[in-house]
Amino acid sequence: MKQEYEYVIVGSGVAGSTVAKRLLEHNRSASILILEAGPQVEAKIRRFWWDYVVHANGVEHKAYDFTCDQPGESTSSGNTRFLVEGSRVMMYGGSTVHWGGWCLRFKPEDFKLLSNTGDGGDWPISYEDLDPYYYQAEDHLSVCGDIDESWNKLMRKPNTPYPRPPFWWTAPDEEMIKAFKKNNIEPGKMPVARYRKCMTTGTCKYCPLGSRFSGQLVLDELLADRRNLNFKVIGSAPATQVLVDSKKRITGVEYLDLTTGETKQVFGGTVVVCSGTYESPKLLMLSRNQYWDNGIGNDHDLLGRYLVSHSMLKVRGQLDQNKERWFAEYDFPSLMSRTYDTEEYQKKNKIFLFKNRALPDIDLAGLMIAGLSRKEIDKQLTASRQQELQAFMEEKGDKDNRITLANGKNRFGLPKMKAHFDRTPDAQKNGDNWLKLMEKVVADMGYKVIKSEIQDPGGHHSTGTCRMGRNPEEGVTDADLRVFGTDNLYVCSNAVFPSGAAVNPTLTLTALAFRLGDHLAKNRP
Amino acid sequence: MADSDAGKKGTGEVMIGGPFSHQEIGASLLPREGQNLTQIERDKLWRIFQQIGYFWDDLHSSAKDSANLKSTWLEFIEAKTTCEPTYVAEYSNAASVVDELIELYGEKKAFALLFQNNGIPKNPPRPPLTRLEHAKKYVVDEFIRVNVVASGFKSFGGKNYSGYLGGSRYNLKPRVRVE
Repeated sequence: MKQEYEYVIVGSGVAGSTVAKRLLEHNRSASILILEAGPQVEAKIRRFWWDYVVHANGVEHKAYDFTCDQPGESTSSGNTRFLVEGSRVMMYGGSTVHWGGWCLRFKPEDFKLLSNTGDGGDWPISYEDLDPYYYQAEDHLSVCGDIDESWNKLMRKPNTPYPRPPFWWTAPDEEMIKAFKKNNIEPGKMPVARYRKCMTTGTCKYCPLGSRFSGQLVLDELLADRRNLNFKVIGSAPATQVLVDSKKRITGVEYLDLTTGETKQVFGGTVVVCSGTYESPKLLMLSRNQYWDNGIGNDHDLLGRYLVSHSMLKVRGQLDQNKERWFAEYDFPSLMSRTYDTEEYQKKNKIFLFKNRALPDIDLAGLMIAGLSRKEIDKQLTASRQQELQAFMEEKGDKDNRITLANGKNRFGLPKMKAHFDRTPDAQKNGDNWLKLMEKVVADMGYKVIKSEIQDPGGHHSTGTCRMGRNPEEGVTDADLRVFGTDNLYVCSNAVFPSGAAVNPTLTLTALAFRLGDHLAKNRP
Repeated sequence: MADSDAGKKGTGEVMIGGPFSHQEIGASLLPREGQNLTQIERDKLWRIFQQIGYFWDDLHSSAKDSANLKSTWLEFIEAKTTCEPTYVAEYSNAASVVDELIELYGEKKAFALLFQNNGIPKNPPRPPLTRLEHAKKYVVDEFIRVNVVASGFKSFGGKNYSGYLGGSRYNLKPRVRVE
């Protein structure tokens, strides 16, 4: 039987679930199908949580890791290794089942990277276009934050607080705050998605209590809401190609039913690809047909290109006493700064600073298990401590940094991939300079610097690969996220970002998803 | 029965306990053979948990015992015995091991030896091969982590242990040390 829906959404992560939510808010009877490549894994299992706790924060036991990228499923080339392993979750709810929850807005200059620096890409929309959707995204993700920070005054309208009050700085933050101030760095409080209903998804490496937003719960609510008569999610259903009946007209999606091994087709008036920075371009590349020789949206060889992620800078210091008996009390960062995340530093690969969430730390239980006495543990606790200043450095999009299809398939039936990434000499030089600044901050805390390094870019914050543009020569999608040359195919993913900024992408993606939902509802045939 | 010289040689150290504790049973989690945890066994396990608090002096309640953690501990035991892989057989084993140790050394010394000077080979570490090693790895070590997470960390100076912070609805006042 031919299955038809108004909307077929590929991917059930924060983008797909947000688009669906917004469409249903406009029209409760809209027929929507979400196809998810990964399985639906039960959440809120107390046993998983306890196992996580008693196995040293997942050293031995990491719940649901089978849904993350595994070794051998992607390869990397170029002068800098691009880390994909463990960077995303492929399951019902997507990677927000397994994330840090940091929710920062991009800044107005991030939408004009090319104009401001001559590198990377410009967005065909402005910060002002996205501003109302940022508020909605913050509300949806239940973000906490402090509006009194100077950068917020530039981005937020007066008297528009975050949905939740900020997390407090911890006592160990204070000595870094003093060093910040000595170096004219403004301290800020990390905005985090504190979702009231999330209790123990069990997948988040450093929030086993699960007080963060999870896409699973949005889907659960949408499915449980009896008004949403025609909303459906099919798991274990990797999309294998987008179907067309003409160059412009998309008719549906073909997918593999992993439970039976059958190839199936579903048909939809509008198809929205919400499959992340890797799977979105891969699906379009796989969709070769008589109208699209190189895959849908790839007439200008832009699919997979302009791959970007953050390179992480780390400077660690050691102090030979810890009389205050400090150890990490949150397992996520509470101190951050956007002082160097400004237009002024955009040419120099601007950075977003934050304190290492896990330091200073001591494994009290581990020492007890090893048989140390209370006296011996107290001695270790007070003997020394380490703190670390970290930063995300913006990498600018280069056309040759890209992902391509590789031979073979992963566990979910999706093609393996290659990632090519070259860090430019300029970015390397700028990174080294940022490290010197960070070393000074750590030294001003009275610590001896014991480590200073630029890490390889990680797949967690990857963007680009289907970027937005003003025309088909510049981008894969237009400002409304519609794939150029098609009437009814959209991409809603980090893949459409023309620049990656210096901060985490999820809030901006959520804002884009709300915006797309409104656009689709407004232009309903 | 003789004192700790009944121990079994590991790598130069003498493992505490008697014949039951030394019995080799393989490294895998002990299979449940249809049994359920009895109240007697549960009481013996609770005694292990209580002794952890006494031994490391990390009890947070004014009563200086673990009673305020019992509901947390019971929920942990429930999760470990009603979901797969079940710990029922491991818990039953640990209760019997502790029985033997108490018979050999008396209660106070038995727990001190079990927690600190148990003679279990550490260098190099090995999988748990005997009943004693199973009791240490699957019961004592996990109870220690529950103890620390549930409140033991507070006696070392913390207000929130790393990663175990309540959700937003509980955050009416700062839950960490601030200036």
